[in-house]
Amino acid sequence: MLAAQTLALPKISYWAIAPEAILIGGALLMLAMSATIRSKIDPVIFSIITFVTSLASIGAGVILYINVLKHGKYLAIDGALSVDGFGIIVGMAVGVAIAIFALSSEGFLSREGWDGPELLALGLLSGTGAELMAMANDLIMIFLALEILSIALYVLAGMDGRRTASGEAAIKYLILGGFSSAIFVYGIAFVYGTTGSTNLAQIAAFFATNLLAHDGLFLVGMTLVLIGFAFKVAAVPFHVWSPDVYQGAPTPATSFMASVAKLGAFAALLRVFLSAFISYKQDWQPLVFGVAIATLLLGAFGGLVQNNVKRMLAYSSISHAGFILLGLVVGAELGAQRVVLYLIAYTFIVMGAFSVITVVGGKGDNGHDISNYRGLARQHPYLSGSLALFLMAQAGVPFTVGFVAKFGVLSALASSGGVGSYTLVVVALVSSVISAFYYLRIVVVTYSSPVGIGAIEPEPLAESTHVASELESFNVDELSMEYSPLKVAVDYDIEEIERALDESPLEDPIGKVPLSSTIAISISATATVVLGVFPGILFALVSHATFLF
Amino acid sequence: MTVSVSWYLILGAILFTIGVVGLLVRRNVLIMLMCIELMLNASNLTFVSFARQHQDVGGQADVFFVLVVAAAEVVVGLAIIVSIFRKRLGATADDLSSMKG
Repeated sequence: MLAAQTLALPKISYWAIAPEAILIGGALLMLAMSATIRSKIDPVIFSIITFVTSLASIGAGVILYINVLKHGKYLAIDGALSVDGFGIIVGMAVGVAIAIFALSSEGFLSREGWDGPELLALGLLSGTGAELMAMANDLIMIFLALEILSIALYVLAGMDGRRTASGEAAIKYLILGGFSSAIFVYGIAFVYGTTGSTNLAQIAAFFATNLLAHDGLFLVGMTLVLIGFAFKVAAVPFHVWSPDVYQGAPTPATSFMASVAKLGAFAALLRVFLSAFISYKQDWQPLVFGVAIATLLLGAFGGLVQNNVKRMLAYSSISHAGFILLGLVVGAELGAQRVVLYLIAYTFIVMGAFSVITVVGGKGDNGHDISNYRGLARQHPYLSGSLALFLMAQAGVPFTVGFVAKFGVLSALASSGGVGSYTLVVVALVSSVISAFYYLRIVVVTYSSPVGIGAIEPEPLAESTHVASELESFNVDELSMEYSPLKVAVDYDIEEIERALDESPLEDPIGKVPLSSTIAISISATATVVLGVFPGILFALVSHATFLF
Repeated sequence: MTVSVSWYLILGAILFTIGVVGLLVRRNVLIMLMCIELMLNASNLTFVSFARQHQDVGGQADVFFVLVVAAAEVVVGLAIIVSIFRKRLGATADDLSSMKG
């Protein structure tokens, strides 16, 4: 029988949970405001509150970080949280992602006429889950944080009531997310059953002094935990939900899934496998190796056949997940540090890219086909230039932070000297080259002539006498047909067309770019370039990203 | 007479398998949500069985967390399902196919 045990309540260290508590406070404040204030509140105010809240959370993270550097890492709240460099730095990256999310959502909310605080409040709550996941030191704590992160994201995915795709995305995300959570919990149950604890420190201590005679059950549990994580980070073969959900969700919500959800899930994945399960490295390393190869290749090839930019970026994020998994294959603290570096870099470039995509989507959030990007450079050179920068950074072009990130992971992998590590480096490089193709495709389209699909109607062009006289030299009907920009250059005098276009007023589906979006894009672009040119800052930062164990 | 812990674990595994198979085979979204519940409850049974084996209250406490999460997930899930299928006749997963590729 179970003896009557008294539950000793743990001492809560409020400093340790300050970054998360601030985020929850901001979300509750916004919900309370919208419930009590009768008059309509401008979405700008909610965006400002979210932005300030995320900055405060980063500030709390900085204080915590300095404290840890001075006095060392420690366990908080009865061992449930591990306050160490790794968790705090990932938590601060989550704060940065939320800040950029707040900025790029402001333009989205005003454009779509959504006046409630739900999008931003759910974003803050979801971010709380991600920050907790980064610090959690107990499998049940990780599970709870994962659910705080995910349940808010299910709602975010389905928030757009006008598009059926949004609801469809929410259902798909919910069913597959719930499925993976259940697998994750079942795995935790087996780990608990074989080691006697769900606390990562105690599991590590158990394996330091014990050897399981029959480790079958533990291996099942470990594999199930890995599968649960693989679902959340969209690693192959558990990635199928990701393109549909990315496409269907409102674009700010998609940016959130691509950045915050991955930050949290990868942080917890690394902590679990590099601290608690490190003695079973021989068993999980081959699994992660295979998953990483499949993820890299599918992320590269899958994006080639897509015509929707959000789907392309979904495959791009699958490919990034493959790179991040390489850091886990390294199987040592160096790998974890390089993963943190990758995650920080990835946060900036993916949030920047999605800020541009949010603007280009236009009213109704529908303009995500690659044809909507045709001729973007003519009307919005700043948007197309920064989009090109972010996509080049994702491809890993030097002097961007994307190159630093990929170099960091690959050099750690190559120096680890594990079995097949060079094979993996080669696969990663090939995958990077292939995925560069679809990044470049978007860039080329934005800089091509806007004549062709969508951007200009052939009929008004023909009716306008002024333009018609300019264009008499070729058959106007041909314009309505789909053709490549190359064909234009061959068949027609491109100068003529461009002059005609400059004179005819074009319908601009994007309109004026909101100031907040411009700020969001500028912050991301500056970080992408500065951290790419001076990677020493990042390397110095992540050298403190160590685990407590 | 005591029942060995293994039997509870086997029951948990059977329930979990029923949940997985149900989720993969059935096409009704409500049934799929129920299958997820079944999987979570199979995990709960496993937790409690192991807690008894270890004479440790921790595993039993974990069950409460899982229960709370399961309840929260169902609340959100049903709300999403209702909001989507209000305009449709049946709650069938095959109808959700506007996105492909």
